[in-house]
Amino acid sequence: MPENGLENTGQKRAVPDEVGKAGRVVSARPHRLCDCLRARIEACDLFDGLAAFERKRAGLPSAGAPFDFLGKALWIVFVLIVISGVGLLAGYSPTVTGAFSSVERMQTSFPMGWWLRGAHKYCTDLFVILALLRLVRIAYRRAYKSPAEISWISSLVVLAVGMVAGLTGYLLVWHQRAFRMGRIFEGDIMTYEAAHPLGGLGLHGWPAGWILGGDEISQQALMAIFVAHIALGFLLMLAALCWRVTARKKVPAYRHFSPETAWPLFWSILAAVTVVAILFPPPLGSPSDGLLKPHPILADWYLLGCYQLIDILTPPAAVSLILLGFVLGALIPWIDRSSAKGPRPLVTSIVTAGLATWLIFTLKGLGWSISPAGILGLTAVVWFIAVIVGAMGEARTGAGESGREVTGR
Amino acid sequence: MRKTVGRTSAESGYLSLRRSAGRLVETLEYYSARFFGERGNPFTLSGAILIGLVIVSAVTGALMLLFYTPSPEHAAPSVHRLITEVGLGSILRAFHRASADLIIIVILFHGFRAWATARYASPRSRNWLIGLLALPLIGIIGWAGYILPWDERALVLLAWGKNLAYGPDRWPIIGWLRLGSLIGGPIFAVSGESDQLLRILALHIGGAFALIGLVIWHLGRVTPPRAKMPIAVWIGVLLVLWLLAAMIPLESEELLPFNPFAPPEHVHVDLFISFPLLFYPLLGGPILSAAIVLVLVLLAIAPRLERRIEPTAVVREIACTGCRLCLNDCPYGAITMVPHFDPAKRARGREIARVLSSCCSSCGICVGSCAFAAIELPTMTSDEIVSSVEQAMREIGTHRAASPFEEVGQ
Repeated sequence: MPENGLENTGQKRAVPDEVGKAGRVVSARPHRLCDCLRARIEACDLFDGLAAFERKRAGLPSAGAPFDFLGKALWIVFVLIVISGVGLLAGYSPTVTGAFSSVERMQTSFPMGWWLRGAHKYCTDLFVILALLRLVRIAYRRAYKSPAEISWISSLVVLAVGMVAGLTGYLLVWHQRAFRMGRIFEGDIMTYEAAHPLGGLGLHGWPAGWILGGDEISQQALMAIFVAHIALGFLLMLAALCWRVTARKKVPAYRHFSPETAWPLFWSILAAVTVVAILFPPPLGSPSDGLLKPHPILADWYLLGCYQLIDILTPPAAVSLILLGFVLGALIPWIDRSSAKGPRPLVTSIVTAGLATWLIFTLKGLGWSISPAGILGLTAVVWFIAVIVGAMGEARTGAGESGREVTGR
Repeated sequence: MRKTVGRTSAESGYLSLRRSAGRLVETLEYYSARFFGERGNPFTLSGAILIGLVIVSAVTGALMLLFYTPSPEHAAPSVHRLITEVGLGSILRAFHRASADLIIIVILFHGFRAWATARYASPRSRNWLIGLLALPLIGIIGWAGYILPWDERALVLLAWGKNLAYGPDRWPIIGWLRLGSLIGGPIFAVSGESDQLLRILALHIGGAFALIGLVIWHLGRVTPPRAKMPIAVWIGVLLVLWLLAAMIPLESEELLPFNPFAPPEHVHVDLFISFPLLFYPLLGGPILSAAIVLVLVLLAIAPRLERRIEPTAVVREIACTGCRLCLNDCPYGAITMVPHFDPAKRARGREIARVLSSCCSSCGICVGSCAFAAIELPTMTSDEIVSSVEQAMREIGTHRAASPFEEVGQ
């Protein structure tokens, strides 16, 4: 008998049976949009509680597979970001004149300020790494298949929100590099709007005007960035709450914070971040000065790739390419229609190629001396090899007949 | 089970008071269930409604933040701009405030229900404590929220809050510990107005983060959590919010400038959002803070006055449909069917389940079998129930595939 709320979640059947609260049986095939949506929302798995549950049900050891801890670690790191962020909020002054000195004061004389700042910075880095690794894991295992489409897209959005929050947080320090980077991003937004065909539709100046509060980086821009930074964090927290509420009842592993495995992870992450914050205090740089131009211009490491792409291609092309990549990534569950289970060579190799591309561009941003033509050629070679290897692997295993069971996502 | 013989008259008086409150709540629930239906009963859904209200206030707050400028000169003009120029701005602000008021009302009822129906007692007492933490937290968030426009009301509330926070320093004996400076220092001991406002903003937003964290923690300890509202209840809640928002005159309220040299005689705050502050002019800072702490401590130790609930399954009679699923599944024969408590349904031959506590081994199988969340093991969290079910299955010798988490027939 199917239990209320304990239905199979997608590995054996597309949409599970469910006995509703009023006792009516919802059929296995989604007749209505509502049922369809509910199954997908319930399959949402931001922090890997569902994955852990399925592993347990399949009789596999709960902490056996590498990379299964990613979701839990993501949640812990997010909690640390929130705690340190609220602490920082108490001492930060979002004014053009006072921002840099308030951060400096925080680093030196604010109670526990060095920890707050270090933990906030390094936890953000960790957040981006973990979210990225989680995406790669889901893609390798092809755990984005129905009914996990919304789960996949939300994981993608979490990564994007993390990166944007990181960018706005970097700008908040208002040191020379942040100021220059703000200038450049603003310039790129303006160039992009001017050059893009949609610029003629009255969009011109809108994002820059809204985000940056005008044509140049000013007090209003700093305030807007400050507010956007907090609001993004707040919306992520709210997403966590909604995820917790929509989780089906009676399935204990939905509790992302089951104490026996999570506490050791929490303490080790806290210790690691604290040690790193002591050994490498986040650099402060020098106060912003509109007349000076630092060299090289640096963003946080995870945005270097994007910046190099903008540098090599023109801004409109680069921004379009990034948006296109994001949309294609979100559409993977609908692109990959094969009913085969388990990893597929083609998907694995394409995801690897995407990662390699990102790595190449990041290395370029870190100072690898290679010409723009060279970097584009290298990327093309990587993609060529990936497609060839993937297709060969696909031909060897025979697409569609692989029956391997995947239990985690 | 604690011995019941040595019970003092005060203790039994407390228990009889609690029980009559419990009967009141059950009667309310019964009649409102007849009116709203079992699934949409707002009295049993108070927790889910609270979560919905927290979401509403968080979303409106995050949107309002986009238009707010946290500096002493610009705060009041930015709020004024929000309600006059920004489209939907006044509605956002009214909803934010109405949902904050409603949160106070609903959380007080939620706590009253948990107390009256003995849900706060021993097995769930930790969740009761988590809920108690939310009370002062919501008070602090509301107080800080009133200060953010940095008008003349903010000046008065800041002074009150400062006196309340530093209150413990003026208590006899305990004042020697300087607890007040420890609490109030980080918020009030700042150099300028600008820093002061930023710390209050940090308190408001950080408090909201902490509240959501508390809700997630609280939910993890409820079994089974009824955290989702049906669409109809959502619509009802939004309607009530809209009515409340229409009743609170925000449009006509002027934001008088902050003037430290001419503090106003009287300020207006909504009744609910910071209702302990109503007593401030009467009691003064130290006494009021002592009273708040005393009330919270009393509420925190109240579960100790109850007998321990025996660790057996309990039928939520209002939700039981008499479907006999638990009767069929219980391996210990601990479930019997008895006539329905409602005379009309009893006349039609309806029955409900009852647990024979002498037979129940609290294995949790019935909790897994009930499709209506009508039987629960109040002593256990979901994790514990599942592991206990799995253990019971192994002991009974059933094949693993018959565990309630497998679908038989696969």
